[in-house]
Amino acid sequence: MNEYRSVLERAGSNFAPLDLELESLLRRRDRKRRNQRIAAGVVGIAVFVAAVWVVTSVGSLDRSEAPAVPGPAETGPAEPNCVVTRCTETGPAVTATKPGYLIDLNTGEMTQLPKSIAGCCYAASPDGTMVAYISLDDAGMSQFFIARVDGTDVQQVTQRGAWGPFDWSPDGAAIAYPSGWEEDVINIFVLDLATGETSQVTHEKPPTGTCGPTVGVPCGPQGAVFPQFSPDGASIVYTVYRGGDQDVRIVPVTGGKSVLLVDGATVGTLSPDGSTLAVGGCGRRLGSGLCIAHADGTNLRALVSGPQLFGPKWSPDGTRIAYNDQADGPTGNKVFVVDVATGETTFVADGFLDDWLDDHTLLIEPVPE
Amino acid sequence: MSEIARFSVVGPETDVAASPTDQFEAFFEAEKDQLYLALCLVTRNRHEAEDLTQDAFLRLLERWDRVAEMEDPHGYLYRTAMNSFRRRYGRALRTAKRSIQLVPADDEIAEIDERDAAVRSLAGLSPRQRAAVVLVDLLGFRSEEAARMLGIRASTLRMHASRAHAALKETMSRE
Repeated sequence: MNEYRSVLERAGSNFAPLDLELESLLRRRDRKRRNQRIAAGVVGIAVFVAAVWVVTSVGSLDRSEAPAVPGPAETGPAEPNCVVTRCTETGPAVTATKPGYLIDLNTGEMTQLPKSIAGCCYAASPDGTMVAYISLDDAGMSQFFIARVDGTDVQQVTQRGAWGPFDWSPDGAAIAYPSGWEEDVINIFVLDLATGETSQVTHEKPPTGTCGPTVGVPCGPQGAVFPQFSPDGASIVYTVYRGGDQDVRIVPVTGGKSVLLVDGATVGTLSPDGSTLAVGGCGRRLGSGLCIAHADGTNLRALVSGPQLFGPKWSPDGTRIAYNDQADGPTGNKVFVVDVATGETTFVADGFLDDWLDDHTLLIEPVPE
Repeated sequence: MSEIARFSVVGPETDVAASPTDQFEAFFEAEKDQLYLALCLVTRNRHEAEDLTQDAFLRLLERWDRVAEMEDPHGYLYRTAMNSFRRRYGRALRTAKRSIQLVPADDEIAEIDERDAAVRSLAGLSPRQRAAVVLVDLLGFRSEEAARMLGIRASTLRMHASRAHAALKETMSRE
């Protein structure tokens, strides 16, 4: 017998057989069907209400291309403007994820993104007309797509798997993204949108038996993630996971030696003028919260305190930072905006912050159900 | 291919004239424990393994009329389960970003680690390395088939298996 098989069989003998009856499975199927019927009903009502609203207020309608009613529209009929091979006879292949939505901070108006670009981890182009996002291909594999915000011109960029989130270069000509399913380690690549060529920026190595309970380190994703271009487009701020540690670093976009900015922080991003670094989690020295520092990571100080603050994003004008607060648990994630000058925070919405579309519009994903 | 051969994974005693529901039940009973065990070893989390097992069988149940006609429903079951595992692993980054625990932690895994060197030896492998050895060494899938299940190339799968073998050998020799 294969020696590894005997090790695996021995390991497997520690797990008791699964106590699962067919009846439980059938009940789960029935629950799923019932939920689908309810969702379809909600969509039907939403469509009816929207139709009535359109008929009664056609004179003032100014954005007819996007549904204005937030809701579980992923179970609805196929998008007529679905433009890529991901479309099936029952609609886009991605039905498990709700589309994100835009929220106008001035008016509070929410506009759902079209179903044809349902996915996660949206990143807006600098001019606010395009989004990069993660969605599933026909085989159910996470891939990197770009599309216009109105849901047209959907293009699948990767074929062999991709991770999010991304960042567009300040000139809109390139996108930095993490990838590396095949290599067992994630690295950051930059895609030139004009030529379609990619270049590898970071060169993290796969973990070699340094994780697991025996060494107190979880075997989670390893490598370089969360790329954020510097305002001049010459460098990328990113987070590196090695073993159980995570640090925010900066590296030239052409590759080369990286420099530590804040150790123990989760995600870092530079202000539009390049003078200030914002980090989620304040690093090993200060602990949790949302912090700002000089661009080189020095003079780190808390801007907002809280146990579960992460994913800071500067507004394009550099006056505000949007961030996530998960103090109420995963399904209670909330998006806030803080005024950098005054430190005043404002609740925006339930959901996950993805990006700013412009100085007063945020891209947000609904919380999972 | 004969009906008997098509359902050979269920066992020769399977009544091929049975209703689709009966056929599915026989398949479910024959496969559920091994799939769950494989997923326990891959995920090292019994809650997640149970969830993935249920998901995989549910997907097969929803399209059982087509799956039952396949030459290898056993392989299809594992492809489905590994596809779900792959997607969840992909979402792990979002989990890191958002501090979401998709499934509860398996608190007892540390106890099992403590008492059994074999389980402990798997802890140091990455999830994909564990998936590679479980699919190839334990379940006997060919590298090409296992690679398709994990959405990677066969050469990459062999690399993961090789690294896993080296790590297992080293850990077991120390124990």
